[in-house]
Amino acid sequence: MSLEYWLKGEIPQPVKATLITDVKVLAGKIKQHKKPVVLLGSELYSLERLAGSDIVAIVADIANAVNADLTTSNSGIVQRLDSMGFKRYRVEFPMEFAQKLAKHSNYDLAMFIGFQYHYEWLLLNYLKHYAYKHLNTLSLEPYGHPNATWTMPSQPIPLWYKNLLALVEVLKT
Amino acid sequence: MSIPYSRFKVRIDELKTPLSEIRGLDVSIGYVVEEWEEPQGPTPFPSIATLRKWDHILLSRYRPLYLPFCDLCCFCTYGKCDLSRERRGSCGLGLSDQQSRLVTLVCSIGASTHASHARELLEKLAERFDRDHSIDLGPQVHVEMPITRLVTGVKPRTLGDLEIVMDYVERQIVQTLASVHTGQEGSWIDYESKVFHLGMLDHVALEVADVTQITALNFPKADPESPLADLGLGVIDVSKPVILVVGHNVIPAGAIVDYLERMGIRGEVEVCGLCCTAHEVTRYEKKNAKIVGPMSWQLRFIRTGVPDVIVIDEQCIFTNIVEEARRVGAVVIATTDKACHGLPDKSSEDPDKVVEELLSGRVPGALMLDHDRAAEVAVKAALKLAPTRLRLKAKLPLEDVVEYAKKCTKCRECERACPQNLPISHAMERASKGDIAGLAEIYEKCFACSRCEHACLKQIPILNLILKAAEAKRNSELFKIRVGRGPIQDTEIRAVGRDIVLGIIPGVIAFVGCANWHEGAVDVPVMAREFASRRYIVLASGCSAMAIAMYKNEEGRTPYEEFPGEFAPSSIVNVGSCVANSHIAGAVIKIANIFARLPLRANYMEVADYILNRIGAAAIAWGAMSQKAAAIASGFWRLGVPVIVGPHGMKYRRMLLGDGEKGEAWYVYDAKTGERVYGGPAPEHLFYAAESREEAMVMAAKLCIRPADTPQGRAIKLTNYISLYKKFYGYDKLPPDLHLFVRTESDIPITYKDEVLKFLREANWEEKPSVSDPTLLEEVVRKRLAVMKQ
Repeated sequence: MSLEYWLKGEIPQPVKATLITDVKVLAGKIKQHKKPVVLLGSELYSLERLAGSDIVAIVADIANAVNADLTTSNSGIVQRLDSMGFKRYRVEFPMEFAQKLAKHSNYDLAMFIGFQYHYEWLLLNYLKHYAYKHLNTLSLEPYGHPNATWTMPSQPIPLWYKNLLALVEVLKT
Repeated sequence: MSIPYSRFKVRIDELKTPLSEIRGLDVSIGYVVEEWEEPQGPTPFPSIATLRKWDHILLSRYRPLYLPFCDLCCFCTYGKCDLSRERRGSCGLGLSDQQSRLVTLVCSIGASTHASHARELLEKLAERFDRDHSIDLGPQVHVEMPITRLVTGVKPRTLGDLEIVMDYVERQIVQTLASVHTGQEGSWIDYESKVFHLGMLDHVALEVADVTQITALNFPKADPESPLADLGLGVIDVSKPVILVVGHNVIPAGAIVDYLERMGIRGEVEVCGLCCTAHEVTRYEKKNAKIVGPMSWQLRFIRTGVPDVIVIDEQCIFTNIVEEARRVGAVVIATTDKACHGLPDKSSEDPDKVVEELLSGRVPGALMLDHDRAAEVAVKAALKLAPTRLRLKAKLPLEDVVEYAKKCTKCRECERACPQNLPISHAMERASKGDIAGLAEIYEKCFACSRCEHACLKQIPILNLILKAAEAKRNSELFKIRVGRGPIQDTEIRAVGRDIVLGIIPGVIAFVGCANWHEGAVDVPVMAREFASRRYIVLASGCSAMAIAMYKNEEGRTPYEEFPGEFAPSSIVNVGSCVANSHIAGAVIKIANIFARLPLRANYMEVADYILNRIGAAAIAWGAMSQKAAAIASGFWRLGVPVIVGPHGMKYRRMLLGDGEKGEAWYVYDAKTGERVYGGPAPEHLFYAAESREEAMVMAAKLCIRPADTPQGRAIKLTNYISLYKKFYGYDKLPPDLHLFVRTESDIPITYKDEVLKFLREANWEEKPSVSDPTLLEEVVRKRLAVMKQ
């Protein structure tokens, strides 16, 4: 596992993420929170192609394990969630949802997966500065994100996939 | 008010001095602009603070959502200062203030670039055609230059009249830029007000630039049936010498066409363009000249080795272009002092000698500030170079792609450098086994920045491999674009103004800006066709107008062949280059003036208030990249027109978001009674970055909703909002914020009536009165009540 953040040129800021390389520690962090939400981005399809697996189903398993809501603005993901009978999701546009997370919501943990790197990088930086008093953030991407509260490291896709599966198992126990 | 020069005239009938006797002497100091029958409005030549009140009204509703790219400030030697969370820098500035300060700086760069471009066109063309050359935009345009009239109060009649306008713009940009200095402005809201000011100035400069070139160079004048031009990498005739023109300023490209015509050899040389110069050269010539593609097609085209001579003017040029040209044996001619690229100045040398020097390879290119000479050198060099460069135009063999791919160690440094985070190493692995389909897929999303090559530890020419893999795709780029038509006719505005204001035409959607698309160019034509098919009026400019052309329907027709070019429902209107964005802003201003008869002259706030509350218009800058694009967007914000950007647009550091749930933010005055009434979150946002094109389309439909919509108009707009939402997210779903936009049951689209009523009941919706004459300005209320008393 690489301890480096992903995109070249993304210089870590004074307040930066804590890197979590142990899936058990990661699961512990998630379980500390009472009202988590997972935001799914449109790049999840690229990750699925590279991993050759159904990542939406894995994210649904994570959500089920910790009673988290899901949000997405991607039509394909909405159809997939509908077809698997997953009910606890909402269509939310990420920018509007970020605003809600900072101002109105009672979520205490926002987990991100499947976003374009820079898009998530900037959303996380907004939340880091303007919602830090009531909200923690966690990146579940295969790319290390410096602006989250906690991030998984940059890692090869197959390894990341294995770690996601392991996370589901630990969360279920 | 900041009038830069006043009209000062002295007439001396008789003057006797010990030395002489003078009779009938007229002395004029300053500019003389012909008077205008319309009375002067309240804000001629506004300075930074003149429209501050309007800006603060907007900003109290549309608050910045900050997306800091950097949490530090390193502007002065007190720093670096950590501005994280609630910390402040040594100068006292916080993170929000700093982000707004940076946006001010970005927009200053953008506005000054357009102003400089406008000034150069004005100086050169006024010199060539005379300062008294009349501004003529065709017989159907009587309200010429609506932005200039609205902002400055000047009604220009000649090119010379535009000088006072540019003096004002330049002075204001300098004043506003000064606010960015350490220890000046200290509040985010006033930085944002300055951003709006810069945007407004930018729009004036755009208008001056485009009107100058339309009028002097006889570009299409508000012509809905301007000719179709060829576009795409596949349209270039590689058997001829090829001159590529890149940038935004038409004068050098026009000189090349003129020289070829004078020599009687126009048919022997290909002249093709990239970025806005491509738009301009087709507007200038209206035949023969071709468009290669948007700005991100630069390296794609140069790397093919096809161009023999590359003539660069200004803006959006790949700054390593001399090195890229040298690699393929082409030469570069730079034509402006703003972009000299280290080339030797050959402006005053004999063109034949310059050609000889270029051909010898002693210099990679030349700076030629005399555009006629530059044209002569470009043509002569292309004619002589082309036969010797046939070898360099040869293609990279497929075997070489596989061999290079085998060198890849899968270190993924290329991916970490790629701004699109494209799966290059995965594609390389496939290519190493002879399957180049993965590299060909990358071509669609790659905008050829070549950062991957710079990162590659094995020096693999990754971009060349991608281009080779996509060779068939590149050669099939054969499209048609309607040449930029320039302004919208007054008669067209009269025909549709009422239906736009009532909401019967669901909206005007403008596709503007650059080519930094996350999913490639295809998103833009898909969105444009969807809205045109739904009776929106679709406008386009710049690289987005080119992207729209790069699509073919089942019958093999491009959108410009499929949809008409008039300003009407179900149309796609290419107004032209970046500077032609002024005609998009001009069209909404003209609706307020021609349809609603609002005075135009220096009446900015009232017109912007009208646009914000009544004209359902939104811009989509899906690939916005530059500082100029930021300035253009901010000009639209101050006018009350929302802008949606693509995911890369997040990097503009902040969005301007309303909060639909915050009821008190959405109250307006009913101008007829002066009462404060709920107008609803319409438009809900002023600047918004969407993650996907589906989100952008639903958002665009929503952002066309306005408080003044009639019930019929609101029902039409909601039909589009709901049906787009259902199309993408499922036919069993409704937008979760729908209750905010339904005022009374009459607003509900008949098609969805039962479903929406059920939804509203569940949302505890209550009827809200609709307001026919909404305004945010107390002045408008006073004015309206005074008229009613009379």
